[in-house]
Amino acid sequence: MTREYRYLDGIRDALTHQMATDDRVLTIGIDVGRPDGPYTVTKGLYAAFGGERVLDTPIAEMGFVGAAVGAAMAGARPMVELMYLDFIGSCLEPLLNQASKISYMSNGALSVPLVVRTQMGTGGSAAAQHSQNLEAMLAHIPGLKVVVPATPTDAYGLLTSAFADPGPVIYIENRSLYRFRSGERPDDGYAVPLGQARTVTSGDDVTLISYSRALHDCMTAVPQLQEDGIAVDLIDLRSIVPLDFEAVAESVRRTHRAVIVHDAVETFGVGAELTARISTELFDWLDAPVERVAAGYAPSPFAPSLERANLPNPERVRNAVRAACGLAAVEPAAA
Amino acid sequence: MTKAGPSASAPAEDDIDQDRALRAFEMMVTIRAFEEGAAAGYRSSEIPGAVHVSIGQEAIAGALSVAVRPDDALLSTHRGHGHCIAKGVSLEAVWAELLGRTTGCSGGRGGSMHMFSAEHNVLGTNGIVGPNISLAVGHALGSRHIKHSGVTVVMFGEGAAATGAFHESLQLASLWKVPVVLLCENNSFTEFTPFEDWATFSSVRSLAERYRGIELLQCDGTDLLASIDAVDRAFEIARAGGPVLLEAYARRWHGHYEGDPQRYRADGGGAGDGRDPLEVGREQLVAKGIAAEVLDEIAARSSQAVDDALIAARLADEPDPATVLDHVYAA
Repeated sequence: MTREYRYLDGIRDALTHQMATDDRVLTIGIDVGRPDGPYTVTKGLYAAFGGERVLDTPIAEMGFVGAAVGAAMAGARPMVELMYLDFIGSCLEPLLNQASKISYMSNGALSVPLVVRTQMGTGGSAAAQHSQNLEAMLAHIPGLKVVVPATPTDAYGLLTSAFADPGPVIYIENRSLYRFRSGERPDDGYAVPLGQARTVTSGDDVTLISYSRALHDCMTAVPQLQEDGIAVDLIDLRSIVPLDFEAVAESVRRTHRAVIVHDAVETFGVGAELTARISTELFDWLDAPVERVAAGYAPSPFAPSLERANLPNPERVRNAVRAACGLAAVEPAAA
Repeated sequence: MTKAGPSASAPAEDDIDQDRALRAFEMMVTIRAFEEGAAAGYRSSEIPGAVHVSIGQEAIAGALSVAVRPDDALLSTHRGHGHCIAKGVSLEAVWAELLGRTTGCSGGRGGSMHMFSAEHNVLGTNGIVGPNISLAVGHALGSRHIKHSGVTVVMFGEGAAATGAFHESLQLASLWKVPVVLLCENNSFTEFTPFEDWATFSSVRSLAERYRGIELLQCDGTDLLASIDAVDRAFEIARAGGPVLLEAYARRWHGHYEGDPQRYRADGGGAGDGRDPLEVGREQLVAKGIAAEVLDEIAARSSQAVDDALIAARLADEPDPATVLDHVYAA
């Protein structure tokens, strides 16, 4: 494996392929065209496809996200970029009350084939208004799909599937992974189905469940845990909705222990939903309480010391897994 | 009502084809009968949920019905029964939707404020004020890109002009120059507040003036022939490719919703000093040489059609509870 392919490339290549092979696809957002994209994800699209298909917008998120919903209803395949997931405060309406409900409200007669690309990420002192991990908030809205890629090839394959989906898909990148390299460039049109989790490492002692950036903390912790004598079944969910609970259940039935890790705040989060389902549906298989590693219930702080204190890290993952296995912590948890 | 002005480009009334005027009149009286029935259905509790009727505003929907084509798309508001009927959705399908039946245009999943009909290009009445304008501008963009032949029309009230969605959408409509008809029904009341009490601007058009390239029209929305002329002109502009905003003045006779005690209205509701669009239309058609008996016959026929549709809608099944989770995701 050459380890040359970046997460950013996975997104850009998948998007470029969609633009090149499907004339219905439009790219809409702030600075996505002539400026080549805030994080350069859309670099080259304007030059290749022109202003009719790559539309720069003013800072009018409610207007242009709503417009993308309408364009999708007209038969286009819009990809609208929301520069930061935090900015969803300015445009939740067209997703919350329009796109997510149109299939249901029309009795299945209409659909909104819309891809919303956005990015989140904690770390780097982006602070309270540019660091939120809001995937659970979106997953709480029936009708939206929520995709959270962790690797370059998944970034490609999941975006391909987001475009193929007949309904609205929120595709949430993690900006701390943009320069992360692994694997090779997939074949054109490579697709990873939505709702199909991936087993990253196999083991029979504990099920470790994560996604997006936090998955990488888990990957760091797994060899340490191996040294502790704990074999980890590490699952990357890849999408929150659809949720591949069957993959989780199959693993927990073998390991009898589960730990969930994410950067979003713990309270009412994805981990809470998984904990509830594991506790209810797999009660007889469990040998220990389900553990969660997630951010504390506070806005994301600015000071690096505070930010570090509030985020998951490999040490916290390791100790949570040890706790699930009845072992003492190897060092004090970071928070 | 001091706001209602003459049509921007008043034509000779004789220019309007007699047959189209008659069809618009029939649509008006049909909608009046339907809305009176809906108000009664609310009072008797036969209709669950909230009901917002458009009595007093029927000339605009009547004019819409003779200007809009099947391949045009319509987005509407919480006060949208008449718009759906004007776009071709059957009376029975609208009734059945209000009653929550399987034969409703949304299969009973939508209700009054969330009515869809894919076959008629009705892309929703809407329970939220403002976002339908954004959807319409984007629909017009997508429609042009996919090379559909039709244009997109969105109905909204003067209250929507206060929303960010209105301004953001007009900015985009102006920037993208899309074929959209922005049809504002200024019905004098924004929920429970008279327009004059909150609006620090003279008209919705005056706000839209700030965005280049949006053509602006106005009409007396209680005047059938003036409304037909203005709505025709608006569709003509959109069919030529550009955005247009038409502000049609009328007066909401009923409350914001049925059951609204209307304490904010000194006259307790009704036409006030405004005119009844049905009476105006009738006088105009008589003046065009149409016999009063013909108009009476149209009114009687329309009323009967509304009653028959309600009876048919009542016979339809309620949705099977086992289907409650169907269609959350598009197939």
